Amino acid sequence: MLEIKNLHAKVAQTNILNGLSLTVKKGEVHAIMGPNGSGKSTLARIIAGYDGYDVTEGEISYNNKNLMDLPPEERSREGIFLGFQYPVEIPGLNNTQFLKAALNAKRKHLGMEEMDAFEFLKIARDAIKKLEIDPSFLNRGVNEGFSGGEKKRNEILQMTILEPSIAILDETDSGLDIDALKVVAKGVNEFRNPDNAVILVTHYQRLLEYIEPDKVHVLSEGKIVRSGDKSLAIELEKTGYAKEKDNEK
Amino acid sequence: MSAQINFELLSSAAKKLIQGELSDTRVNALSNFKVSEMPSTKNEEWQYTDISNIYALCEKSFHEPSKEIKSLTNKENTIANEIDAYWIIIKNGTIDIMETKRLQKIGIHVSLLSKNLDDTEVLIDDSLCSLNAALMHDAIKITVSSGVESDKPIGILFENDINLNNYVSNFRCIIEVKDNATVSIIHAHTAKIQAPHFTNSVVQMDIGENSHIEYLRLQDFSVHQTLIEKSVANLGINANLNYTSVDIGAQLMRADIVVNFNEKHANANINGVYIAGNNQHIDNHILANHFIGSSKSSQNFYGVIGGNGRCVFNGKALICEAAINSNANQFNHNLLISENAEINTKPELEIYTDDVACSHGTTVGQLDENALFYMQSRGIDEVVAQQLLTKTFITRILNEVNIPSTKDFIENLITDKLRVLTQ
Ligand SMILES: Nc1ncnc2c1ncn2[C@@H]1O[C@H](COP(=O)(O)OP(=O)(O)OP(=O)(O)O)[C@@H](O)[C@H]1O
Ligand SMILES: [Mg+2]
Repeated sequence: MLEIKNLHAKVAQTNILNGLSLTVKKGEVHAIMGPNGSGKSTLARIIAGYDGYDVTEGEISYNNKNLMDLPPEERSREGIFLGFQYPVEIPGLNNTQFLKAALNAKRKHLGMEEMDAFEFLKIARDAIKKLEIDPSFLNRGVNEGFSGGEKKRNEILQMTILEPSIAILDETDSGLDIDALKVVAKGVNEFRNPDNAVILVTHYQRLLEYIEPDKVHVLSEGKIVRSGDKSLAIELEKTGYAKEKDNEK
Repeated sequence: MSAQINFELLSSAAKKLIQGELSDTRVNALSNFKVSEMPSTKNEEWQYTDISNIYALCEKSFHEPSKEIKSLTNKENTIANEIDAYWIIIKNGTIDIMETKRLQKIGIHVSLLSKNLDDTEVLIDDSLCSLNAALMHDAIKITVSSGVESDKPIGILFENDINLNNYVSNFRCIIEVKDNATVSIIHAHTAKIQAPHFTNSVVQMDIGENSHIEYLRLQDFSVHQTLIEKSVANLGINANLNYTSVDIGAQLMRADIVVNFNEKHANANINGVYIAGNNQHIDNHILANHFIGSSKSSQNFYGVIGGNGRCVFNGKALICEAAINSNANQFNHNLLISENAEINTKPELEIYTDDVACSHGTTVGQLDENALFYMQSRGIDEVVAQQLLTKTFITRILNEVNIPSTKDFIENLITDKLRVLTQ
């Protein structure tokens, strides 16, 4: 489904990704772990189409199509979803209006009829109930004044409504209390099916207790330095990343 | 004497107009004009706004008083059909009797100044205001009786006359609100003309004790038109003015809004939105005169500028020695959405007493890149995302307009304008 080959990227004159390769197949859940500043969010944002990075080498294909030519909005409509590490506040832009515009953009792209406000509200209400989100969320500005945990739940709400093919969740578990973590995990588990895929960027093994990954990767200095199954996450929790850096040398 | 407009021609043009009860006013206006200077960019208050193009139009109007120019206004799509209000439409120096009668029933009296001047004081101060008084053809007076609470807003629309001289229009509107009244007023500058045209407008407002006025100025002229408007509001004890301007059109527009706090406990919100695109210049000058204490003025202007558009904001508060316990704020926020867009913004305070609370600030920025990416990553087109963000930026202040029937109209106006701007 998603194939990244030898990706190199830099910002200004700093190299951030240094030959990263990753293959994600349908139905899989991948976890990406790694120290702060190793390039996890950079990778996630490049997949989503952020143009602030300079991709100097390598390629990303999605369903056998070159992804690099598409602007972010088209990637989204084709089924790529990024759950932001730091969801953006857009004061004054109504959350419902935002979600509806997003869903209708996708539906239009797929040749489906646009949804009216009434239909949309039904879907949105179902989703917020499942995710145990306060209904007043829908009437507020996008992430406006939301707490850290509320913002993360709002990302999962968007994922649930947009039904992407691949969801990249960048530290969606950070800053969540244990109940919220369970709700988010439930949301992701309900989203999973044999036709879609999930990439979880996380620092904590505890998320992986709720969402079982098929593969775990360690990203360090812009490269995947180690891959394994879920036991790798348990090991890392004990030993930290220091050893991975040594291995590389 | 002003060099730019020929005085002999001006006075003979003034003499040809309807005099009625206005003959003395016109004479005074002419003599005042004679001794006052027309604005020029050498004057600090006008340094960013060059209005020299209007002099030629004025002279032309004296020489060639009739010309065939098509006004775009047709009955079907005027603002009067879109916003539910008591519309006072002034055309050819006449007003619609039907609507006037309806207003009369609820205690609101509308009349032409030339027929009903009584002891009304016609403001004649600077040169443009004098020019207006000398040449005003369409001038009305609206009197709101004590205790009146209007069920619908009053709409004011001066329709540019297509039969008479169509280079210059001098409109004046005198609004007198007695005590304990509540009324909403929509002043529409929406009659488009597709040829060079100068509208010189003056609005005088007296707001009585405990009265509350919602005032909305809507300007959507064509890019051939120039509007200069002076609005002066005098506030009584406990009076409340909620003023909002929405400026979308015109090639050149200059508004001077003066609010005089003559009595205690009065409050004025002076808000505005301006959106300027290619070849547009929009200048708002606001002056809150706190002559007496315990009064509050708050200025909030939001601007979006694209193309090579240029805007000016000058928000000033004068706090006199007697004005203890006053509160005055001036804020101006701008979004520049193109490289050549320009804003000159300046909040100003002149304070002669200690016991006051004042704050001011201006911002000039671009659209938030992160917000744009966030929206795009949810499938929203870049251009649509830009429009939504821009609209969000200015809508905040429009939420302060308490005239619900205007909401859709303003929203459509802004959406259409932003579409043109972000194309
Ligand atoms: N716009 C930028 N300008 C300069 N450096 C940048 C920029 N964006 C990212 N970087 C650098 O790239 C590196 C990787 O950043 P990235 O956000 O991808 O790390 P991360 O692995 O997600 O870290 P964390 O675990 O803290 O979220 C960091 O050293 C960061 O400072
Ligand atoms: Mg990160």
